[in-house]
Amino acid sequence: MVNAVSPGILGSSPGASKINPTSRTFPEQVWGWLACFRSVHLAITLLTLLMLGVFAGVMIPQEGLVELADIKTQFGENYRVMKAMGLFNVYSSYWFLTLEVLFFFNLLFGSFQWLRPAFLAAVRKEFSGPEHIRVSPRHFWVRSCQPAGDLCESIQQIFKKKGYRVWVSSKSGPWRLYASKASFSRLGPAVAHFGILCLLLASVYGAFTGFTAQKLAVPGETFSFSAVDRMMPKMDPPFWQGTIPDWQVTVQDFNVDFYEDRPETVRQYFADLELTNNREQTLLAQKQISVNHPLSHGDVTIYQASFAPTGKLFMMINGERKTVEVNTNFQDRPISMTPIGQPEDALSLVVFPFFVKQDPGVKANHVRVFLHQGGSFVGASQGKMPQNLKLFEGETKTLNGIQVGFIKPEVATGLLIKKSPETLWIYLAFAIICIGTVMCFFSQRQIWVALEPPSEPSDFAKGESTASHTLYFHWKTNKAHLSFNKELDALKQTIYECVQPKTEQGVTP
Amino acid sequence: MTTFLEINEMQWVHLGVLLLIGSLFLYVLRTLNTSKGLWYTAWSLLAGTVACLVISITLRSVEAEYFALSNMYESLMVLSIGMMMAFLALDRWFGLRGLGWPVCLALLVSVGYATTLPTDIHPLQAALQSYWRSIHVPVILLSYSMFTLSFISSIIYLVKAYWGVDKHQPLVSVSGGRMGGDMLTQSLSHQVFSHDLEADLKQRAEQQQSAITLAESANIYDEITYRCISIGFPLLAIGIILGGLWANEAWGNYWSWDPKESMSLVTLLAYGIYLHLRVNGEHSAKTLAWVSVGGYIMMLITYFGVNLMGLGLHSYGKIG
Repeated sequence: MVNAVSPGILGSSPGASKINPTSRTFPEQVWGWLACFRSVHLAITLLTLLMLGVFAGVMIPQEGLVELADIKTQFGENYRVMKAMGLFNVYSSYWFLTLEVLFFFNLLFGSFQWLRPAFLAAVRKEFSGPEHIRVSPRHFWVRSCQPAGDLCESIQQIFKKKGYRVWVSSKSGPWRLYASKASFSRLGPAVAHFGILCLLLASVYGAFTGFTAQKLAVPGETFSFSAVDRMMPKMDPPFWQGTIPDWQVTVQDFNVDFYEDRPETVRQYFADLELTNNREQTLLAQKQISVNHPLSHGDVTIYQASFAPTGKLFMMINGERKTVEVNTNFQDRPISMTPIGQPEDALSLVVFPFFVKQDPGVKANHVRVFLHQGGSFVGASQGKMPQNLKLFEGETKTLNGIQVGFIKPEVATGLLIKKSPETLWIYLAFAIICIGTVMCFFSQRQIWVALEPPSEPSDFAKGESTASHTLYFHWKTNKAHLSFNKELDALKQTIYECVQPKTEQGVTP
Repeated sequence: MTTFLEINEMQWVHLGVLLLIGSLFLYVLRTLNTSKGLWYTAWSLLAGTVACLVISITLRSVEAEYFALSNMYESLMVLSIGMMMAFLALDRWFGLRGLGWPVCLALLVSVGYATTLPTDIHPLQAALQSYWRSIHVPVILLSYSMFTLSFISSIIYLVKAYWGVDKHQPLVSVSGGRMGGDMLTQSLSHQVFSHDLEADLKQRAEQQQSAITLAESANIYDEITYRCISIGFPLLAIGIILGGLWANEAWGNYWSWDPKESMSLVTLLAYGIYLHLRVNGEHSAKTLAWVSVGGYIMMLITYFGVNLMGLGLHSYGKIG
């Protein structure tokens, strides 16, 4: 009887159940063949190889991040060999993708293997009798002369107060208790693995259906998704199965905002966008986007990604908004020369932009405006500055009867358009991974208690009063041994105080 | 006379460093003396250091008008605060005598180095103006704090295992087999494997009265390493995920294989290897300690190395 130890106490190796090969069904045989895919050894090997692969990708210059010419110069004759090995494009190389696929299958089969044992370990409520606990490696006992009912109730309350879930055996025989805390943590690894699987699957789904596109657009411009210059499906045809929505974007305005106390430092980029349906000409969404605040509609998101000065200036000339180009030079300075008035007047507006050095073309500190007619500046005389206006952004003044206003430099916004049908699944996978990893942090703590009545004196109780009960305790945790031992010390003290004879209450030994 | 309100952020840092030096001195003494008064004083001085650095960062944030966590100086300060708080909790729970002074020394290096870096407050770049910055960065730094503690614990373990009193004892991973757990249990709570509770409690009371403490077993540091990594690993995983969500909002991509991102994945994989080796249970605690040290080197490359390179989307974190 002593050898008949409950697996609940000493534990059993998960997945260690042996199946007789001759009696295995076909699915069991397939499961057996897949043994190599689900081993922890393979997981460790793959993690190591993936780690080394990613590390190589960081240490070796990667195409896209570094200019190809620089890579060729740096590696000289070794370039071709290293290129063939995919070392300049590690993350899309054949060997890295193979590792990822193997990792996926290892996760898949490994998770299946560990799910059931982990679930059983989390939900199993097994009770152990005194004969089992006595042979377990970690146990202690204490004797008490209190009535059995009071004793059992007190022990239950002690564990409940410590946050344990308590179950008492309803079967006949000696009173037995099972207390457990944070059992859910056993499912943590399986949940985290499941989350990673979901993430990988969602990424694959996104690769087959998603696209990214880039467009540089100036304020007032309207463009269709289908007419975007750089449309990049995530996979090449025929694998790509996505669709491009028949939508168009209108850039109402684009502004670069600078810090007031640091006029050379950009605070934020704002683009006012309208998203409309081409066919129905209905407004789908409207938003002022900025970095970190994209416009989303369905599974399409439009980001404020970049900007580019066009070299033009928005001006108001006699109440009319005009875009003037910086189209010529004067004494090595780029200037704008725009004809105004009637052609026979040969009158031009000359604008000298004074850009802030740090961000040329984006922020014009001010402009100087002159009038040019018949080969010379209006109001020019020897040693004297021609008549001119100094205009800051938003200012309007009059020069020789012509009303001139400077609105701002024209800057194109770089928009990134992304269709990602997998977003919801990615977020869900992230949430599952987070939950799983947090679950892993906790440790399952289990305590078994059994009461041996005085009618059956144990080996340890021989020679003692037969009127005393003996309580046997056994404990187990899967990690956090340090804190569990501290808790156990406190529990022991409480249990000891609880089982002491309470003479003042009239309970005598 | 200068009031507390007039002390500027750098003066708070200097005050914190002074307290830290005091704490280091007392923690060194603690390795020779078991006095509880000494321990409490060392602990309190370290708690005082945390308070000083928290006040410093708060003042800085008020001045900058954003949560001051945007450059190397600020991130090292937050990392140090996280490390101190984690250690204070560990020390409070377990009172490990050998861990205090190495942690204080590491903190002194960290805070000292931070003070040599540029401390100017710059306005935030557009990409950094997001609530995600206040979520993603502290979580990552907290994981780094835990990994630093695990590294120190691993080093102590290795020193004890190779040169300490434990070098001839069988050192096994706690989770590497049932025996490891039992040895740990025995060394920690002064228990025999099976015992009479009454006798055990009496024995322990006598030991406490005579101020006898057991020498700290190397296995305790193996366990501390494991616990620190089991806290740091989920934090890093969650931090990377939060970073992915932020990247998707700012750059339209969860993952760009940016050097910083890639190295953080390398660190995560390294510690993932540690945890899997631990689960596997076939490897000695020495091997695990070396893997933990390796993981920490990867973390250092992620934290400092990539910043030194100044490459990629995280280049605003570059040093100097």
